[in-house]
Amino acid sequence: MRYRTAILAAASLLGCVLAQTATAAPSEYDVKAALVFKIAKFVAWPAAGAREPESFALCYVGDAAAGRSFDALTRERLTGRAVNVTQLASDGDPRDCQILYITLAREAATTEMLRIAAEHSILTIGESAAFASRLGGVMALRTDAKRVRFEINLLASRRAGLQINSQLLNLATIVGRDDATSASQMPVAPARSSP
Amino acid sequence: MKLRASPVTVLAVAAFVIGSAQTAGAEQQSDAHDLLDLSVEQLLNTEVTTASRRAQAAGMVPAPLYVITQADIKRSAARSIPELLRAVPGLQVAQVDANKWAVGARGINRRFSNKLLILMDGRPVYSPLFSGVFWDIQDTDLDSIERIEVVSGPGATLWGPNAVNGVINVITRRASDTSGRAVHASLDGLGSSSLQARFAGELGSSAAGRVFVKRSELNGNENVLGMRADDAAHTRIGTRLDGERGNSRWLLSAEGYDGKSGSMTTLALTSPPFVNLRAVDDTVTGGFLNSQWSHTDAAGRDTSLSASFERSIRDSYFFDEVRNTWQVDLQRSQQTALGRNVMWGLSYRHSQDQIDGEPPISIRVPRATVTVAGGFVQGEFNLIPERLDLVAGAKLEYESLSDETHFEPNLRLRYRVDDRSMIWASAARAVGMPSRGERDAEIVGPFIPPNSVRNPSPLPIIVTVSSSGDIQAELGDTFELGHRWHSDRQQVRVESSLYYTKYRRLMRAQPGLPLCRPAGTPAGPLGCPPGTGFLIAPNLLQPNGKANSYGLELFGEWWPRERLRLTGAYTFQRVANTTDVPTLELAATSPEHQAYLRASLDLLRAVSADVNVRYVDVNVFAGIPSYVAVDARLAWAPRVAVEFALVGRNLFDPEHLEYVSEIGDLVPTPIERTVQFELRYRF
Repeated sequence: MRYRTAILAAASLLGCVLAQTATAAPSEYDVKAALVFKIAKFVAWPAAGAREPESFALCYVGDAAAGRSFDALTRERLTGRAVNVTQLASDGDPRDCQILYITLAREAATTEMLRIAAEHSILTIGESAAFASRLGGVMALRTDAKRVRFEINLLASRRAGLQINSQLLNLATIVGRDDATSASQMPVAPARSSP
Repeated sequence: MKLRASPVTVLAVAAFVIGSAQTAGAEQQSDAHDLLDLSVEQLLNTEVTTASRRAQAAGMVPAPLYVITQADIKRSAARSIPELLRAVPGLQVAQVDANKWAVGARGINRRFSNKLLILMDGRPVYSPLFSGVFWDIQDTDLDSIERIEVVSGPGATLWGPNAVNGVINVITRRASDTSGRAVHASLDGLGSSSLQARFAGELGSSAAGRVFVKRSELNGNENVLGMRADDAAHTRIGTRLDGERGNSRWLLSAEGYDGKSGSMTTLALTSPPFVNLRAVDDTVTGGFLNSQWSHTDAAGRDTSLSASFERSIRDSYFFDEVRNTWQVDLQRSQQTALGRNVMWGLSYRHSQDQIDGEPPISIRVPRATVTVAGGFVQGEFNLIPERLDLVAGAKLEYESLSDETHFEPNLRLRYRVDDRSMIWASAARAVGMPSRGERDAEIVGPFIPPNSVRNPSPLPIIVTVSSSGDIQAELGDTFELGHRWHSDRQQVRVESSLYYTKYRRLMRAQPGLPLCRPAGTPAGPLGCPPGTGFLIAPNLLQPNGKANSYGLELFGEWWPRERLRLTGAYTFQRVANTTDVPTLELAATSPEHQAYLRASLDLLRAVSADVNVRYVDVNVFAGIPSYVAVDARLAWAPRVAVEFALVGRNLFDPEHLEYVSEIGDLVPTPIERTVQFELRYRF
């Protein structure tokens, strides 16, 4: 009996210890990168015909914090193809991307890039309340009260020729001009003077 | 079988259950790879940690904040930073001539306004000579600017000295955020041209660098005497290197400039014809080095350290100056149990100069060092959850010209009405830095001709201004109230703010008894002795002026369509003097009303159009009539890397006057209408 109690006690102690270390919440970008990866499985791009690329192009505009999380996806495979992650500058050329992710800090600088992306079949994903509702982006992953919120602009997705699986649509808030649901957070201005 | 649980067993089981429940309930693993095993739904339910940011939602700042973005800069007709600032409510921007600008805030716009703090990547750029900004040496590559943040009002606590009526912070783009090579060329109908080339690239895996070269030549406008004297030519080179490693970021930037700017000056002489017109060239050479390092640690505390050095050699029509300025700044911010966010900082600025005055200016102390040292603390406290926050800060600052230490408190309240609107209020004191000019300069001029409105006597009058030796820093106590609202889908946004400022210890020119020259005797009741050629009206600068100013700043933005954006700004301001003798401030007050309207339209696939209309009310004191000015830009980008643009500036009138110098040293120059052609090419 004592022997068993001892094991039980040890196991529970271990359980507590494990619980402590395991409850560290993952970083925002790790979760967002995982979401982007999963979302891509529910989206169909128009057939590119002869130009079918060998690898899946995921581009992001942001700094190293986002980069670390997205770069980790290069070890994965999406729709049978290797994932190629590229970092773009805010005045870069997005036309070879299938997914274009724009971080909040860079959003104000990428209006030109978004205009170009809207004319090609690119899944644009942003982080602000205005991104999907007003700026013409297709999706937005907003961080609100420690969780990531998911928005989709159907009009923008149709313009880009993208087909989104209804299962994904059910998990998202549909936003856009024709809609009553609101995005209620102001755009974020970055810190006073970050180098 | 009887189950009998011993206390140890009970505890052990309980611990195990609680332990496992925690593990299961947490639903998360800190291993990023494991996240990929979760479904979309599970990921959306996962709690995340975000890096600590001093960033605040622009909608939550309890002060009038206006941000000029990179897109605004690219699509505007502006060629320089002052032109970009015209869109900001609360700022008064007047173009003096082709190469000079007067930028002020909240009604006070002397050419060297001493109540506005301008920062370039955190580096203050005001000159202690006049406590103002020489805009000709801030002519950096506009394409490299990421954004310009303007906070009206006393940001003294956080930003630095001299921020009585506002802070303008120009932030350049990270080198890693600029791609490849680019060239930008422009040419206008007056013959002004500019050429910029920029190269950017990676330096290893965690750093990047950018270099630019800029050459601009401005052809002058015709002044009121029919002459062109404001030609200018400037060359500038600059570089920025930056990188990130783990949770640290660093930046190193340097720029060098060399140029000359022309003016036509009116100099008062002490013998007939008493006035001399002279076309002169200001030449300036110099450069700066700026460095910053910031780090966020595991506990979410941000630390940032910056240091900069600037040297400039200026040969101006009134003075020659060699100046070396050092600045060091440390800031720390963290979340605490007490307050949401607590920040503190220390800064030290040391500016050493050698100034030689040329007639009509003489400098009594040719060599001096001006130091400003300060520390601040600011905390954000939540008073009513989700509703009311208090931001309280204070700065302690020592300034060497006045040899005074000042305490500058800054209190702000923010009340969230609902998730679309908020009200804020503030009370703050800010200190305006005294300048070397105010303490050590003697100016002869302006000249007032005889038998004129301002001088009905038969003798010409020459006004002189000199320091009384009593130097104190000017104080401004400001009370503000503001409101911010945006519509459901953010198609409409409106911001308004009201302010009231009490100024004390303003520099006032106290007139003394007129002197008869060449006799040197005061003009008595019987006038001047025979043989008198002219009168001197001496003025002593005393820091005992008082004034009140109040105003309203309104800003609105509307997106009626996805491709059309309309913005508007309206400013009302009034400065009232409360002492009998006008202060220098009152002499340079701005028009009471100002309005600005802008429309940005994405026309066809690759065509964009921007038009802005601005109205500036009559400036009674300076005698400048009201004016309307229209700028327009039409751009076509046939390819991603090429853009052609046609820009029209000041299209409404063939020419209009914006500024008349309050000390009468420059011949007024109206600004002419021009059309400019621009090319941007990336390769």
